[in-house]
Amino acid sequence: MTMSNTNRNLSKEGEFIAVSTGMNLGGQISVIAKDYIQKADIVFALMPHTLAERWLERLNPNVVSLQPYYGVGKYRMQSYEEMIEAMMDEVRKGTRVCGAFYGHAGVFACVPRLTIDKAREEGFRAIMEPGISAEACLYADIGIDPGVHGIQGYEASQFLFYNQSLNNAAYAIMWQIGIVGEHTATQFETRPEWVESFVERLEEWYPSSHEVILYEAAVLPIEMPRIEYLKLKDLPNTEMSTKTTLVIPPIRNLELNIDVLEKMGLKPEDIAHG
Amino acid sequence: MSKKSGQFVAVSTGMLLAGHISVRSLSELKNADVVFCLVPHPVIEEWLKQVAKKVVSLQSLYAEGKHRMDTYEEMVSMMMKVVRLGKSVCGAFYGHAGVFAWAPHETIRQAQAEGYHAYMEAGISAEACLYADLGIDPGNFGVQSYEASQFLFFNHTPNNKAYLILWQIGLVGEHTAKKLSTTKNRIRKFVEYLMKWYPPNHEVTIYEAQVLPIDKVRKDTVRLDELEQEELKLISTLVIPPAEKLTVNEENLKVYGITASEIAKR
Repeated sequence: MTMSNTNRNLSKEGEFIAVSTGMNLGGQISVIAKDYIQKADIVFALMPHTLAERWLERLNPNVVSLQPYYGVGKYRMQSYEEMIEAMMDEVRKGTRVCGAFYGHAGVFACVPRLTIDKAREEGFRAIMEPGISAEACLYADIGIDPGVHGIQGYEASQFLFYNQSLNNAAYAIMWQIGIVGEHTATQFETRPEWVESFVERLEEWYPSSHEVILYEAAVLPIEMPRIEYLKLKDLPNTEMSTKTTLVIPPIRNLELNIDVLEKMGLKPEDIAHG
Repeated sequence: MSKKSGQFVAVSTGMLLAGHISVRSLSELKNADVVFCLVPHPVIEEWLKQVAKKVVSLQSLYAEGKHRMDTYEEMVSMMMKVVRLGKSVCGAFYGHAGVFAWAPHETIRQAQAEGYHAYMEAGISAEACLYADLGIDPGNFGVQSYEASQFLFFNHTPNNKAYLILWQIGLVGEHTAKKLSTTKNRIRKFVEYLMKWYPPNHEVTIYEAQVLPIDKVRKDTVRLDELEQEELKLISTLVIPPAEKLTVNEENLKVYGITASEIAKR
């Protein structure tokens, strides 16, 4: 065995960095994430747009798209497993591998996290760089501060199929509303009757006339975000895509919890918060 | 539409010094005539001074005993004064400029109302860091997020099947908005309140994001009933994992004509 071979066996040289590129092409990536992409031996990319892949190729000539692993009618978990294996194969060769994921690599994405777990399990260095998610864009574009009323975020189908509950004194955000009810994880759209049963479920907490917002972050620099106000009941007739998010403002005002105040020896007028 | 000269951009600098800022936010800082900043460490102010032409700190407007709302209003008027002079003004706020921050939103509202170009550049918040550092995907169970004192004083009902994140836990129960700390007694009352939904031995995590490269991420997991013994700072966040398992909503499945086993794992 040669010296270099011994070294290779002792220290695991490969690494995996899951990098978040932000929502908006080119501008929203963090300084540190951009640096990781430029220094990687190979960059695997899951981007919402081929233009975004072209942009990555300008930062690093060795970009491999993960997009072809998806397929209509193909079970998504199968696609994910293939993506993870493709990246891990490179890590095991001892290369510096970057996974570039749009938005935040750890939000509504299992591939980056599972690849990190696997890489660490096998003794490689693996980290995630946070990024600007659709949620972060929503706060900036609509002007919502999650600290003011509080906020709840759910994947729309999960909310529909499981017994989650809502607090209608805080904002509610329903992600992936455009594929709500798509229970097979093989398709990329919903149906009006599925949206209707979703609206019916929401009517446990909100009147059908409640004003809600459909939001889509801008992905290209020339785009404007979609910020569309509509009534909850009009949702089934409205066009939505895989990137549409439903924002539901609170329906009632905050009320002081008198019980808690008494226990703390405070009166309502003592509370400076609003 | 013609806009007046003078503009305001609320820029998010992210949590980690110099690394988290977005490429576009960085270029906004470089191009601005004046950068007003609210960042948690003097080292970050020094970094901003290397990047920007002119930097003014908003930190000195805070004072113990002064109502925080008064401080925020002074920040807004200080920045608006310079916008009205026709300058290109940046407000540099750490984390995400629109998250747990009143002044950036309000300055944008005022500037737009007066006919100036004003907008916010999104950024990497403490929440974004938390998801990366703790490996929590908000898509898995859902996430609820509240300012801890608001959660305590107002009638918010949590869903203990989803994650609950409580911000500014180091200030919980501080009702005057004038002090920058809380007491053990108040933390105890807060824990008692949480026990309406969570057992005393429920494991919770105290999280602090990395701000300087020398900082370590804090992720201390403790029992809920031991929280009062922990050191809680201004930057500490409490993460409460679900206490109950998700159950399938049979009624909704009937509508779809499917059974629980037909819902694909995501």
